[in-house]
Amino acid sequence: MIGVGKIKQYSNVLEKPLSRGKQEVSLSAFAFLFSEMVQYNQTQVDNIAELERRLEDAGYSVGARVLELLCNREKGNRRETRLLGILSFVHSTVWKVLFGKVADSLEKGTEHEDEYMISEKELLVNRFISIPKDMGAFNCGAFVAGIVRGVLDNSGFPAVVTAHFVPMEGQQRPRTTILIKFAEEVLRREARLG
Amino acid sequence: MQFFGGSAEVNPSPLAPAGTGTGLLGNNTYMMYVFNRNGVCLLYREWHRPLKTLDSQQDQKLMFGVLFSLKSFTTKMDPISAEKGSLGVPLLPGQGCSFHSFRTNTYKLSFMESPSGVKIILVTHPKCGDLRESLRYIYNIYVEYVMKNPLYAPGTAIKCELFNTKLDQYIRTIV
Repeated sequence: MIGVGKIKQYSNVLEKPLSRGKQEVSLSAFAFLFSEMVQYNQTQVDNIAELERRLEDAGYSVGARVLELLCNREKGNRRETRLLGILSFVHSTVWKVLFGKVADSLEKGTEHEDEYMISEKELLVNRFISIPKDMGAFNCGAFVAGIVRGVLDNSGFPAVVTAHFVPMEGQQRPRTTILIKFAEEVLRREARLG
Repeated sequence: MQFFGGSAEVNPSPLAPAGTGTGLLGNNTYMMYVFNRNGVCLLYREWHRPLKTLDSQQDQKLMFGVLFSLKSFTTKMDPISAEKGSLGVPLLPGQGCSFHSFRTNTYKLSFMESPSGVKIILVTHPKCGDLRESLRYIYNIYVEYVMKNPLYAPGTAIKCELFNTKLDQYIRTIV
């Protein structure tokens, strides 16, 4: 008979304990899936800006869910209220869970008060992608920018997040920077909190 | 099936200085071709080619024709396997025996065909050894940086700079 014996059957799927799941996913599988997503979106749009926006929207959904999951698993349902707190959460925990390592660096922008930058030598999603010359400044890291925006937005820190290539001397591949520009209200709230 | 539709432009990467190619400075490779199963030349790179007799399109067609004929010929002459296939019909990638290389007094041509019909040809200095492992490595680079690139349309010439960079780096190390 099927199901007789060892495994405890839960009558309700909501009562099953949340598993931690497998920690590793095949890189090739992800690369092909991401490639297909980009190609699919390419057929739906007619310019680069629209393509970037679509990738960002896809990332936004991922970010929102990742935030819920990580708050439950890693932080014991604590909520971040300070700017530095949420930024270091994104920079370390989110990056570790998604990409297997913490981001390379987190910097505060020098020109504007509301700008912060997370840099990475090579984004995982961009590892196999070379942008042809006629696509200009298109960056598939827009997907990662969307993830960051999803996390920030759903924690109560609305921001505009974009991904840029920053050419480095001495290296062929430009570094990727995720630029986070917080909304006015976030800064005002932060100032009030002291 | 579209044969010989379009070809890759000649892409001279940093040329080896004249006089090398004797295996001392790691500049053993002269040229490289990559064809897909329809005969479209996806990539042509040359590092050291003093003599050019044909224009690039003709050259690529000639190369593909040579391989096609050589494959039929080697299959026909095979003393071991029973199934020969008929002459004139294009052989599928798995059919027949797969020839690896031929060597003349001035160059050695090594060949590899993948199960998907992607053919990689390397023309090197005659004293290079068996290059099958190198060809497999190059095929791996192709899979990683070309096939996984969403901005590359399969069946067209390869213009991915990551692929070109990694390829150049690897070619320099071939003995």
